[in-house]
Amino acid sequence: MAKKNIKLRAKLKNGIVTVKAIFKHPMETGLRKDKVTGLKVPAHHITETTCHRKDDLLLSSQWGPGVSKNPFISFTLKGIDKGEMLTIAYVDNKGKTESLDVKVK
Amino acid sequence: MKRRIFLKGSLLSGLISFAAGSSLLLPLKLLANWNKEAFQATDMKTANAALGDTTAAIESDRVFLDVKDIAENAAVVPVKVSTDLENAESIRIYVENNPNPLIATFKLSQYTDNFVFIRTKMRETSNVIAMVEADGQLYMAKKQIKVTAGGCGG
Repeated sequence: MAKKNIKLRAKLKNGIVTVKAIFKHPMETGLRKDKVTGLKVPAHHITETTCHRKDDLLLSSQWGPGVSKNPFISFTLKGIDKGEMLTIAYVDNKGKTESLDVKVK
Repeated sequence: MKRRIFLKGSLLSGLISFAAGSSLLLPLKLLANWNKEAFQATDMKTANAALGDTTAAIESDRVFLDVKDIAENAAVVPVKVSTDLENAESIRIYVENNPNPLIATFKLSQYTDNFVFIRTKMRETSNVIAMVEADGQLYMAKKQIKVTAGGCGG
């Protein structure tokens, strides 16, 4: 399988799970110009990300092009036990999707 | 006879790949459509209207916005937003002077603990605004962040 463009950690401490994820993505805004050709680099950015536990949607977010390159996101969850599987998925404006599972540590 | 077997085989493998494909796509099924209008809006009012809000946001000290006063690298500005408002439904992050001010929206659930962290890009010195929607009302926190162009610290 091809190498994943997502890195994901989920750690339980004092009843709260901290999820940290990095997506490898260029996050082009569509406004930047190519230095050589002088043409605008077409927009290519993540539009939506979700975090699931099986069928439960825990967090969903929509992003504009203003999110930094190789986006890092972190958030906290409650009511999640050790060893449960969390799934993070993203879709970008070109329709590419990817997802990754991780066990809560 | 061989043709029959071939047909059966290809049908079966087709079914399997279809099943594999659909199960891979399963976690994304719940994704709502990306709100293009809101994210491509060039000012905050339009963005807010596109997100379905007519009332103005109230400044509140229960929305916590944690950003450094000076952004040394405008391409990577870490923004932390948290709130102790109960029934918080969503969190939005704006950079007022960006070409598209709306950076991100987060839809919370009963499992989230009202905290998000994300890194944004900033074009120039601007207000960073965090909004939290709770009980149909928008609450916000605002902070001006200085962008030091050229890395000369200023």
